[in-house]
Amino acid sequence: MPALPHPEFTTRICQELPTKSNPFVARERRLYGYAIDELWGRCTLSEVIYLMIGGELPTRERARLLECLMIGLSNLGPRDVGIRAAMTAGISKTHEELLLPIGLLACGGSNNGNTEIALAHRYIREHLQHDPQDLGATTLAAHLAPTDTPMPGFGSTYGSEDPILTRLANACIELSIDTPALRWGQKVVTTLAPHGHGWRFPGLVAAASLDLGFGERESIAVGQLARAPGIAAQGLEQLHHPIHHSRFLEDEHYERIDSPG
Amino acid sequence: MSASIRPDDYWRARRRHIRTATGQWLSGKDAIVRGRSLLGECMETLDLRQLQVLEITGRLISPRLSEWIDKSVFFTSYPDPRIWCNFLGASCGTQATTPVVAHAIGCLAADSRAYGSRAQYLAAQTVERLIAEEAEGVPLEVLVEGVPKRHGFPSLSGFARPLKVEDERLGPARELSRRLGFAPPGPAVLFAERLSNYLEAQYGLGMNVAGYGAAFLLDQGFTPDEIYRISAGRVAIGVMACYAERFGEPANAFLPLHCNDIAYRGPAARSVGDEHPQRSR
Repeated sequence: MPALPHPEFTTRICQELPTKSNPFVARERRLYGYAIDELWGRCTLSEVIYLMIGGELPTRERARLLECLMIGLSNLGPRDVGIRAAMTAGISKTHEELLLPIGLLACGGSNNGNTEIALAHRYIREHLQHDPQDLGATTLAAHLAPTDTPMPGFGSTYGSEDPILTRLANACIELSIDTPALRWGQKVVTTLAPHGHGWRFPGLVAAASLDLGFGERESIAVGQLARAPGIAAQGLEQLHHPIHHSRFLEDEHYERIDSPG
Repeated sequence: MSASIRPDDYWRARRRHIRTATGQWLSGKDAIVRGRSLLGECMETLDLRQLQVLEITGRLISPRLSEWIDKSVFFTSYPDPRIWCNFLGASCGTQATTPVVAHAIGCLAADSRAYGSRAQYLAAQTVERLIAEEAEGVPLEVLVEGVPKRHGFPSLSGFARPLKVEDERLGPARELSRRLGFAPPGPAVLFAERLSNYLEAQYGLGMNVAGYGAAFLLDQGFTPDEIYRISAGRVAIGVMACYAERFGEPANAFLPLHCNDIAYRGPAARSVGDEHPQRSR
């Protein structure tokens, strides 16, 4: 059976070989040349994720780094914007298959969201050769308001440094000497922390992605994959709770400003 | 930072407190929209588009502008499942997702710099920026020269349509404006037409309806952000048509592909075995 005159897509990632009797059915599937059967028998999930994003199987060091990062970010807590969105949808009885995509989309955006991962990736990449002190970070930090974002990927968490992200960055650094972006970021955080700023989720994902050899756009996927388990689990849990467990904010806490258009 | 100010003050003031100008649900009575009764005044006097713009921007637009925005949705309501967002709608149909999923996925797909709501937003940003720069004395040809090039052509959202395929929607869009009394054209539309003429002469590129629509809405006093918000979801009608037609068909029934219809360009077959150096550490 001839192929289409112009292929629907080209891809370097996945090859499917058809069965003899039915060209729609794949008898074999390979990822970057590796049979899926061999991958499921010999590799970890984080190794296969690395393969699909990076195009090669990782060194053991890089696999451990990715695994550490993904475990560290797997549940950002029920107040995280993505998880809270999934929980809100869950308790309001949204269709269960929608909770994960709702949560993943809700934590997108350029303000501490997934789009900021790419912005931080670019920023760190372009400034990696500069000493954080030379960036004027010390002077900058002294004048930062708690709501400011000093640079993509860094800032305050409710007015303070996020200590868990700092510990996670340290844990990642300890796994590999080949972590220049994470080490650079830690220096930035050392400067910012006394003024209530530090890593934010996009910065940590971006720095780790750089050290893993992933590109700017691919780093967004790393962040989404990392936070997905917590979004799914916490959203699904709320489906089992009665809708009245979620109460609207009382009117006395609701301040309406009327200015007719 | 003064000792009396806590670092979390900004958030503490917002904990269990909502301050809003959009409105309020008054349980058992009514809802307020920008200071107006939704079930009273708004219901009696506004059409759907006026309500939409009022809620989003706080601005009550005229019935004729409401009609213009309504009719402009026709330009993005082609029920042809080859169009990217509609393809997703058709796929959702055969997959038997809920219609809301089809709507959402189609609209998300059209949040694209190449077409749809994001393209119109980018076009509005472009026109607004170029008008401001020209007002500062930069000639049009210098402005265009400064635009990043893609394959040798200026990358200008809303103004990069090859003229060999003319946008069939431009004529009706201009006629719609004229019929509703939006004449003569405002400064943004005049600039957009002039930019289009220049690009046509220099590069064989012309304006598309996203560029025209963005300029028109700028002339009506909307910001690019407001245009984006008003335009979100404009492809939903075509998406839903394609979804509805395919709903109930067997799985994978819409445009199925043979394995070999996807061209593989990656590494040849290999093994994870010990010869792979990355795995040996």
